[in-house]
Amino acid sequence: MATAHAADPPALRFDHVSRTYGDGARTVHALDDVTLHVPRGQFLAVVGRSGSGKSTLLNLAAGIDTPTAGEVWIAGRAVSGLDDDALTRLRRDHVGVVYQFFNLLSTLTVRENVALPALLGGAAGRDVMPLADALLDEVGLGARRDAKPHTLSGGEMQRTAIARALVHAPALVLADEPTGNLDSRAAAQVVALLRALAARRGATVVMVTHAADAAAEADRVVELSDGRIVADTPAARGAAPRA
Amino acid sequence: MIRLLRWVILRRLTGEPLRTVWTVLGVALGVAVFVGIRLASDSAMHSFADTVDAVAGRANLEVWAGGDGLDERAFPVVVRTPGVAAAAPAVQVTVRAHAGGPRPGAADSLRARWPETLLLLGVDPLREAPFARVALPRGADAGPVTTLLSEPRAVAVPGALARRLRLAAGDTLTVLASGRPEPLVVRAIVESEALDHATAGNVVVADIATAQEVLRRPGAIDRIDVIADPARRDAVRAALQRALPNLRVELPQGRTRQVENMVRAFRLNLNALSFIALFVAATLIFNAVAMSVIRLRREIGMLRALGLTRGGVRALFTAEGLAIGLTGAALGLALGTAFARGALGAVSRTLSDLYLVRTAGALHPSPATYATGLAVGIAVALASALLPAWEAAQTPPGVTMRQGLLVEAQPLPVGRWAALGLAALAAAAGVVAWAVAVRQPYGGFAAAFLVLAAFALFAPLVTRVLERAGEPLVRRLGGIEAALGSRYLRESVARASVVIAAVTVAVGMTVSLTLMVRSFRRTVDTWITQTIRGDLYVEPYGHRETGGATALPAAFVAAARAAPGVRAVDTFRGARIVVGTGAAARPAVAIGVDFAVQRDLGALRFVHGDAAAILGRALARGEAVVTESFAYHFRLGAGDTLALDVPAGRARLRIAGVLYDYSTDAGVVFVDRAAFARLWRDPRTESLALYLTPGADPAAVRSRLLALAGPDLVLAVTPNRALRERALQVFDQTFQVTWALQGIAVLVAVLGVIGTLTALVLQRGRELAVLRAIGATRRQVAKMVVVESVWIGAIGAVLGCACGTALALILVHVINRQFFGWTIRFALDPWLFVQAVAVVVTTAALAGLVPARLAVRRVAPEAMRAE
Repeated sequence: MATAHAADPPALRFDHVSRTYGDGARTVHALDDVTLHVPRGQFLAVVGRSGSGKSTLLNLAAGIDTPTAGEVWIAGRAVSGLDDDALTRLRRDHVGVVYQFFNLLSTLTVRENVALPALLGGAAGRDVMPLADALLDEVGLGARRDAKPHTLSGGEMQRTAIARALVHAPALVLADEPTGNLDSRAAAQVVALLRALAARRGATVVMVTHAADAAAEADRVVELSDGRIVADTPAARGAAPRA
Repeated sequence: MIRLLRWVILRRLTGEPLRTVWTVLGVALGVAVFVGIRLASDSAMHSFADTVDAVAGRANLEVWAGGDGLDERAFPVVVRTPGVAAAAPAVQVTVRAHAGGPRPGAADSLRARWPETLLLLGVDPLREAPFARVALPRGADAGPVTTLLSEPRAVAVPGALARRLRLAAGDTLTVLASGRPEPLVVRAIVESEALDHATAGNVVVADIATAQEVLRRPGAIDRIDVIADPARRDAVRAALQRALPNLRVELPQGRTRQVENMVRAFRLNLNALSFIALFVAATLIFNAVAMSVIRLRREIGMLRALGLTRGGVRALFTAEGLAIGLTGAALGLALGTAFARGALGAVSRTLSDLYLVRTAGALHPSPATYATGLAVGIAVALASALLPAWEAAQTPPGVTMRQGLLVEAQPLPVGRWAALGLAALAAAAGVVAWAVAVRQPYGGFAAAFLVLAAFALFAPLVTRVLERAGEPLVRRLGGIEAALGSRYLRESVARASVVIAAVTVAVGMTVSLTLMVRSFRRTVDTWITQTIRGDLYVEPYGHRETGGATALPAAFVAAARAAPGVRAVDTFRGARIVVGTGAAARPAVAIGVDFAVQRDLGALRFVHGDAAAILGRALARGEAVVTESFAYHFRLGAGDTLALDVPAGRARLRIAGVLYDYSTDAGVVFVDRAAFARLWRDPRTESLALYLTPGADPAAVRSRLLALAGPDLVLAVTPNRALRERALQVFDQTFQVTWALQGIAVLVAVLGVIGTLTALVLQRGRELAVLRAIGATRRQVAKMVVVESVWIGAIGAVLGCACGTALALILVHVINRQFFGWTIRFALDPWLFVQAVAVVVTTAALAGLVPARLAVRRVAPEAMRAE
């Protein structure tokens, strides 16, 4: 397991970040002056009710959205001032994402889906494919590498998505309700797998979740309410969060 | 349901005006092309029929002869025939003209000096009243007008012409008759809706004596119009025919029908073009409306989840399709009318150049065409809306809401489609064999449609095969994003095939017409180069318009023969003839030329046999030679005997040979000039072809001829090369209308690609957003879409080239042969294929940029969440 050094910049850092939508009387404060540092290698769970700002936080962390105030740092790099291409490159090189609905590309095989982020980054197929195969072996899908996504079960699809999120060795893995579409057994397997694989590669994980079981697997739990952090606790593994 | 319609459909249509305009425009363009081509074609023929009606007035029979009219001594015979209630002689000749008195000018600005083309109608004012051809201004007395017209050189002009040329009573109008400027004095302005409508007012009405004097045709008239007792019309017609056996007695509509017979092939081509435009339009409409419905998939899913039945979904989108179809089709009718106005000039010119049928450029709005256009637009829009709506209604609400993996995953039976395509191709081959065997001209069109259908059905299989074969190369050249674009095409083959089929049809039509026209042009060019051997061609200016009423002064012809530098002179005299009887009668042309000159110096090419030997034999035995078209239309060949009613009686002419000729598909029979003068009782000359002595300077001879003509005879003296160029210019003009197809092809490629890919991009919104989220740059996403559109263009173009070649073979060897009787040497041009593929691929790539722009925006976080 990789360890974080004090001198290393955090994998993800929010400094007084606000994100508002609309204007005037109809302004919605999705995030309100949030400051959050996520050290390298940490497994962070973000919990909160619907509309609390979890997804906004995740989108800002992925560089998909930009703050209206404050600064977001991804893998030590400030996001403000980056144009769309630079943001995309930052995301491609340093961020992996896992979604609730898996979001695998139907046109590609399982193996190709896993290799895709690295290939989009310009890596050669001959270098990427062995990595994808190794990851698929790790997630237990080595035998299904040539299958199309729609032939997989939900759990298998999410394991493929986890492999895809890690293929380019990102510093930060963002997971948006990764267990939201799975039964409890598959959900437990997926969270365990995500944790194990990320830890093995020294990657930081930020997981948005409603599921108490999933959050209990995290190193630290941040709770959002009305766009603000209302609790930030190192979770004892196995303890349920308040959300 | 009404409220739902307002909430879901109306608000969306009005709330997204650009999108709505795009969809409506797709329908409108499709309908416009169909309506435009049909209106232009129908209007040209209507215009001709109207002219016939307008100059015939209330006549229900007419007596006429071919060639340069008939002897006015026939008139008393007509008047005396029992049952003839009224009869009036008429002279009717088209002339070049200008407002004002004669004015000298440079010979090279003839067209500018004589800008008007008018119909000179000579009538007998005293016999006009029952025919009601010329209406007087309200309140005017008929007496003064008839008196005025009896004055020397007096004419009446319709109000429309007077206003356009700013003519008032007392002004001069000069017409060109057989090359001689003849001043006329406007004595009356008449209002005649019929004349205005038929010829756009381009008519000059004169006393018949004035017309005869101006045209130097003393005693000759073109027609005798007859009003017979309607109950006894057929008996009167038979009696007239018995009394005047060498003349033709027909219903005025008969002439229209004969012309219709003659130009049937041309009109059929235009109609075929309009139906192909319709086919192409249907794909445009399908794309436009389907795209609009696909955008609503999520709403459909939600409404279904909230309790809307499948029938409700279908009803909702029937209403949307109806609204879009109705608005688009109505706009299409207006656009089509504007398009028809533009195309009508080209159609009228072609009818005039190729068939010598003069029509005005007035548009005749046809309710039937409008109704068909409206119905087609609405029907296709409805079908286009219902297919995807039905598909969405059938899909479980949850899946529709997620707009993801399953909706498009229905397998397409590409193999079955390809097998159907093969069957269509085999059927086309069978139809071609049958059409050729039984000389059934419409079989060619049926075969062409089968070929189009076959290649459209091949589109899915070819797409799948080519994409699979090409993907590794695409990946190597363009990286993973290009490979993804390629793969997307494979996945969406069902939807992409529609636009690929449309591009295939459009490219196929363009390639086939281009191949046919180029082959034809090459054949004609070779023919012109080989057969036009005269050095200078001489005719009175305006000959083309005046036709058989033209005559060069005999003294000038004699002087030309004796002019220094002139080795030999061929003379030309033509007459319109009608071959066949009843409904099968169709006009053709008889031409008198000097067979001896043709034999010795000419270079006519015969289908079989040596030209000199055939012409020598024809000259010696008084035989005729006929063109390939003539032989084909009237099923005659060398050795057969042709019976013709001519002014001298019934002539029986043995056919000595069949020659190649591409000047008109009306069919021409050539006789020696001496035989022509005898049979048509007309020794005059319309034009000359001069063969110069070796070393003679054509420019010097031309100057000599113009000097011989003097200032009172306006001559056009054209060197060989200019004539050849002019002939090819006429040829190119003839096919101008067909180039509208090229525009259609490009339009299809652009709108089809934009429409289909936009629909696909919208459908793939979540996947594209995921791609952006996992690191695909804007450029990479754009590249995916553009690669897909390039594939669509490339596959459509390749299939279209193959389809076009098959169609061109049918056009050249079946349709042209069956309709026109021409032999065209087929010439394949590989460079054309390269051009077609390059143009379509480039167009598709550029068109792909529009949905590509839309695709790169798809990184909205919500696109990745629950859909």
